[in-house]
Amino acid sequence: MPNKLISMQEAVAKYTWDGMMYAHGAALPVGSDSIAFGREMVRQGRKNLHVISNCCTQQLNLLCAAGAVDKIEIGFSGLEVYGFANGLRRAVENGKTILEDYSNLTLPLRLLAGGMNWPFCPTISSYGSDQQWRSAFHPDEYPATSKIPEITDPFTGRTCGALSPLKPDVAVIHVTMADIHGNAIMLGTEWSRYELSRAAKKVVLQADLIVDTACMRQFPNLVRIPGIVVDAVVYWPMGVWPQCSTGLYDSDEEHMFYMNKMLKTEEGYEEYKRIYVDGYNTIEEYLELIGEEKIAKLKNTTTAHLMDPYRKWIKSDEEIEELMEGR
Amino acid sequence: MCRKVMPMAAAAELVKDGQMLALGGNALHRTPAAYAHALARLKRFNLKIAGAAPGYASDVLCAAGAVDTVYFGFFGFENEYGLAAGFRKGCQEGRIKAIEGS
Amino acid sequence: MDYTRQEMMAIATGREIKDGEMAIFGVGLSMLAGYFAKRNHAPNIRDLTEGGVYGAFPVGGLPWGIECNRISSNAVSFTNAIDALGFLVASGRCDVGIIGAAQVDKYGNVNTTGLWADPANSRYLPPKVRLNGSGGANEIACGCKRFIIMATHEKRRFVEKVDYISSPGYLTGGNARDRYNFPGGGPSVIITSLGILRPDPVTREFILTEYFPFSSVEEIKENTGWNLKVSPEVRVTAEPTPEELENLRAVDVTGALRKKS
Repeated sequence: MPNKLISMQEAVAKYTWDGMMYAHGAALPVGSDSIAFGREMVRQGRKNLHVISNCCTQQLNLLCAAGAVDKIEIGFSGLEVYGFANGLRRAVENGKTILEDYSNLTLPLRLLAGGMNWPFCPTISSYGSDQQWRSAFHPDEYPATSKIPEITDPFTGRTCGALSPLKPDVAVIHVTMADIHGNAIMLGTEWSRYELSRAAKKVVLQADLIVDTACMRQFPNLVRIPGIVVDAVVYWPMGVWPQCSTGLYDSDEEHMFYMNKMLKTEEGYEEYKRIYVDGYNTIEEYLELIGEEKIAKLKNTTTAHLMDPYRKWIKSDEEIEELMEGR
Repeated sequence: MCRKVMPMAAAAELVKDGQMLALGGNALHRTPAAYAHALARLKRFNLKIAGAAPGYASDVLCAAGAVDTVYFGFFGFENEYGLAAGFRKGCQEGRIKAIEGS
Repeated sequence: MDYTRQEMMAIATGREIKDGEMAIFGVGLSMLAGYFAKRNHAPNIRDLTEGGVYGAFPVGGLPWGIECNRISSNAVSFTNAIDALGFLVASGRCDVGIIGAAQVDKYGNVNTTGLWADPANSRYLPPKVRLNGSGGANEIACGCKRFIIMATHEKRRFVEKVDYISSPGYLTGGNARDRYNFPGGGPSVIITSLGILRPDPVTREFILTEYFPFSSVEEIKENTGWNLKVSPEVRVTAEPTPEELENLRAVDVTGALRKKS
């Protein structure tokens, strides 16, 4: 199998483009999303994105604040206990971004349908409520007929909703650890990363750790995203910051609030972008930006024991650099 | 959490005549053979078996005359172990209805 | 009073959950209420969150979210969205769920999606205020055998008709849910910051059945945006017992419910 390790800059340049259907993370709002990848998309000025998002995270919040998003299809658009996502809110309320609502099951079911190449997926949720009747993409239709049309069960004659399949152009998924071939292990809830990895036309992994393939051979049951569905692997430690990566680090409460506050206004966004998006070029500079002390604090997580079985296969930065050069 | 460990015979008693039963594993891999033996001893009737690739455990119940219908994609033992004899005999004698899917 | 209004609300919610039930909790207040029930009187509930994190108990205080490490430290199983919300909830298997509401109407329909300047306009305009969307609450509303709604009792939240039905209650009342073949039975109770509302068995309109010790029927009616009916058997809710408070505070170790009141 080929070595799929590429740099962050390369990955964004090669796998993203203006106007694309971009799927991020498939994480829960405070969970491990590929946020560093989103920062690089903003750095490279991507725009007119159609984003597929099971849940909003700080990545989508940032992309919205950057004015990079035309359309969103989503199950949950807040940041849970951290509050409303201000960047997203601003973009939706001023009409820049059109947001189509689904639920946290019906969005993954649409990915399942896309991955399975089904014509549609039946549903009993997002049905019989305004998620079915109102469509932001078809604002004049009421009740909407093209969003979640009603169908009849051919076996019982009862009715239900039909969900359209989703096949994003590219999915960028955070994983705890990957090998250079794209075999990956995710710690914590899988949420809808499994379905997303099968639905998207191309899959890029953003990994906190690169491990030897021997690790995958030891725990093949846990490799829910195998290399055969993956196109590229990007190594980016602390890449979920300020959110949490189960087993590795907790969410940065202070920065979560700060970032969301900054994204509330255009000026705040510009300031945030200057420091935390444009303010680094390398992984080392990125880690310096977070700060050594902060990183040590975040890594002191009550989930650290989850990493115990895997430590002996972790590649050092030097080894990863060699692997990148040896491609 | 409540404790759920119980003797094999008690677990077998959970299955009643006429119920639909799915047993784990496939063909000769990880089918709950000891459980099937315990259930066969109870002489249940008209069980319906459902599984993608039912194997040894389901075949024991077919051979025991406990099964009247099987919903399956593949029912056999693979390679040199060949066909599932209990299931095959039951079908050929008209005791078992075979509903084939994929 | 040696407890806060939010604590009363969480305890009243927890009391609705019976031992042995399969129960799903949302994030925030509903999670505290649920884990309070587990610790206080329902040690054998089969609790889950929509993330598919099973067998866990929060460590270090209220989790910031469903995927927060505070709820991932001692789980026995991690699965996924389709497992938790699909196999266990939308399927009709889960007994009870707890959801929050930005707006709720007299038939228990919940809005967590947005507020519109002109909600009756059938054209879908951008919302005046964008809220969070339904998340997994829509599945809980469609699939759970019953569900509990928690909401701060204010006139602007308790409205005649919600701007947007994110999670269906009894829709237009009566048997309106039957038209959609939902596996779930609908909302069984609304626990507010002032009291408890339960649906009329026929019309499904929510009526006031209990008021909290620090509130009154008058205060609750004043803070409701529809002409709230009052049950002839309306009564005051039992105060939290010292044991209940102790168990709640053991879950809410950072005092999230004690700060806000």
